[in-house]
Amino acid sequence: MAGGVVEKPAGAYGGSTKNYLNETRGIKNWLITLDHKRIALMYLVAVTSALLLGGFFAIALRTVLWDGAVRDPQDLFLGLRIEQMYNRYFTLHGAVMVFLFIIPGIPASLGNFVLPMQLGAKDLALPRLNLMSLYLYWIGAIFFVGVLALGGLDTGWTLYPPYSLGRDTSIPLILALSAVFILGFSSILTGLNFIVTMHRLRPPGMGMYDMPLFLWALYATSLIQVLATPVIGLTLGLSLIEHVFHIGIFLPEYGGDPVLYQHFFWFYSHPAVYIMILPAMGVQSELIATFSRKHVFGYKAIGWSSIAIAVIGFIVWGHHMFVAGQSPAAGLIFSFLTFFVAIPSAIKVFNWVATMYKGSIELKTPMLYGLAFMYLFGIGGLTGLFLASIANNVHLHDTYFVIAHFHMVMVGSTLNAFFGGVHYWWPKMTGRMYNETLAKIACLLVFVGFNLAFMPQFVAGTRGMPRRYANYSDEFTIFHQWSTVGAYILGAGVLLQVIYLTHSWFKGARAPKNPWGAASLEWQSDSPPDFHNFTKPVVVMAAYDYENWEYDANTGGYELRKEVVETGRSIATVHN
Amino acid sequence: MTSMTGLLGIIGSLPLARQGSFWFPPQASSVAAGTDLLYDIILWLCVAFFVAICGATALFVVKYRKRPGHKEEKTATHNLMMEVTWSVVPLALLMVVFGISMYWYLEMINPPKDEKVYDITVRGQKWVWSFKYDGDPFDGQMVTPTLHVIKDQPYRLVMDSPDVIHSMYLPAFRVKQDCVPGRYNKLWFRPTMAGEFPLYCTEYCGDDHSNMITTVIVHEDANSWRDAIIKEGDLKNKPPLERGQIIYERNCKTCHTVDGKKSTGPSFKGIWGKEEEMSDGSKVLVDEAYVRESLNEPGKRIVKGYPNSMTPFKFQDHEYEGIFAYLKSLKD
Repeated sequence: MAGGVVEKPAGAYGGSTKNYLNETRGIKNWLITLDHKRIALMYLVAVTSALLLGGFFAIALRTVLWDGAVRDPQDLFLGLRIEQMYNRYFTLHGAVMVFLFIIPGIPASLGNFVLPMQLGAKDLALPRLNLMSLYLYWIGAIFFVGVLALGGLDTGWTLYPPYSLGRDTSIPLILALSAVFILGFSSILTGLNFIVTMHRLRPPGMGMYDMPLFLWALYATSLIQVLATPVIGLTLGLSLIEHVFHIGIFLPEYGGDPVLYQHFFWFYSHPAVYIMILPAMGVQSELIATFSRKHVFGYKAIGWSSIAIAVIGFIVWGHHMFVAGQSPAAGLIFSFLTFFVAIPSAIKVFNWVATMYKGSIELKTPMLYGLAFMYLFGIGGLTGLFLASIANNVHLHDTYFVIAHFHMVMVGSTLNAFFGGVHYWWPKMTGRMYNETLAKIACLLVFVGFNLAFMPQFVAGTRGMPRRYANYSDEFTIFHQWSTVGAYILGAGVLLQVIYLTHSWFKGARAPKNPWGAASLEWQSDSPPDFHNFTKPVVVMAAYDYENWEYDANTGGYELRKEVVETGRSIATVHN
Repeated sequence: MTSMTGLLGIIGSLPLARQGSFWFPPQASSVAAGTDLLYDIILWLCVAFFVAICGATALFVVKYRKRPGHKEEKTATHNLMMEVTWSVVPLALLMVVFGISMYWYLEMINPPKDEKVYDITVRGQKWVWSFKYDGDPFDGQMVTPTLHVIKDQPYRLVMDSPDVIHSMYLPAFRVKQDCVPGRYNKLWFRPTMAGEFPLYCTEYCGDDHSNMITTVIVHEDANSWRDAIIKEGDLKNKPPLERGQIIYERNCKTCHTVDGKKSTGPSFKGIWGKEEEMSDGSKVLVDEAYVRESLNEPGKRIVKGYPNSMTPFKFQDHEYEGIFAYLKSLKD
């Protein structure tokens, strides 16, 4: 096993008093730390800030859309027409959420913290590279703040030429492009680090099939990050060459083709959609199994379906160009291939449901998010079928139906799983419990808010409401107003989370080692973990061997059974 | 296969929900009923799976909730038959959906071969639509800002854009196609219901994307269609000043005011004959030559303090004449 195992005196809650949070102090020690836990925590703060910023824009644009049917075109707000304001809001909302929150969100914060610990390792294989990823992320984030400070951008997060790249290049645009480029490298380095770690740092006795499914999901995610992200870098590079040398690539004025950009962009960005959802699915596998106290059903099917989604994700990008002038034959082939994404996704859902069968289901906050995930991902995934079907896609393309669909998947499922994961690993990361009642109320608000915000958009979209519209005709008013109310409720839920989690950080009750009775290796460490992760030798066991743990009323959490500790061996009879 | 396509054809033409429903706008084209039916098929498939998934989840949550005296049971960790079944059955269903979708998509992209198809040239540009009627009786001489078509007649649209990407969306017809600069994209449809329906731009194109809206008017017969196009498109027989004003209202109004207020572009009030400072510091007299240059190549010389965002226009001589007359009339 990597890392030193140091015996330390046990503290009052079965943990040592010294931990990774207080091992060293001062801002400098945090900035140059190579500890994956600290880096993960800094990522968590950063991506949460990005989430709040992106959420602010969401609230702003939903507010603009409250009465979009009765707008006076001459109304000015901060010197801009409402339409110009709105175009900046939706661009920044999309760009901040996609590049700063949802792509790095789960892997870089939760994954970074949990991955080495689930392997019983001391750190990632390449800790310096990990810190570099964080710094690249910060640089990218600062560039985006620069975009904001310089008046924003109104190109949409997809940056389609010739609208974006064709005109005089403005400083915010150059900043945004550089940010995407740099954030891409952050993403590549994290992915590379994860893959190497999973291959090299598994402890003796743990095969790939013994890893928690969260790691399989991170593995699939990392594959995409490493293979797809370079394409967005290349695209931006080509665009730069076009601008400097006037070689026609994307711009018609030099003989280029704007649709080529869309192919390049989606060759990255479609797999990136699975960068967003796969880690969420990984979290979901952990939550469902742990809170049902059941071995995951169809372990290999779930694990390999992650890989299948990653692979299929590379050959469906053309469904973003169904009406862009792509050949009809290509359209049909991409439509056909797109349906295949549904199968591994469905397999996962069925397996999660089957996992709960005859379990002992405890409705703690993380499990509530897990159940919400079933529902929201159900809707998000199934509505993808309407869009995969090319004959319907022609009608639904670029309408609110698409908005509703991808928000159900990205916000509904990914953000929801992020919340679930944060609540699940919070006691481990911070050593504190949070107020369970407030957490459940927040979960309910988030769930109700999501549904109210996005369900009406399916109807509005099918009725013909185009996306990216600051104004709309009166027939859509009712849908927009429901949606806006939903967004406010969702916002209230997120604010409540911020409040009680902040309170928990400072004042929360001390967390036991393993409050949920989970079986993956990270729960054998103290809460919060020691700087070296584990103070005692880790008992290597497969991910869902819950029999090794029993409830201990003294600590309020679960402890390894005596015979497991004594023999250093798993007593479980069921393996993956 | 033929029997299936025949059956789909019959179902597609059933007069169900033609006036629009909770989900849909009116079904005003030959493909609308068919694609809506496909939508409904997918919808009910989704509802069935969704209810099954959520129902089972809810049932398990209640039945196997943690409570005193209840303990989890060991069950199989996998079951190959079950897993194969729940992979293959959905896949088979999806292949059926794909088959129906392919049928209607082929209907959407292939105009009829045994009928005369009327050609219309569509130009999407910031932030206006224009439609040129290439067949009888106009031979490309008429351009209108609303789209006029005749019920039950097939139309082929050839579409382009001189500036950025736009997309023409006709919800009532269930069709959509991007206007891409440097390309000619094509689209065909056959309207089946007389009336007025909205036409939207659905590819984000800048400030007034959401105002780039017009109407498609489906006429019952050729006479009312011809009269409407002449009424809208024939500017030649109008006096130059009126001609200019109409062109202004249709194309320039979004960005240029006539009351002196600053907008996306400079106001036209009193601009004729004025010396304007350009972004490179030079001075230019606003006259026929500059106005025409600005229309054809707007990015060449930009008035200081304004963005380079105007779309290029090509007009005919009588239209320039009208524009000049209108601008002159705004001198004071």
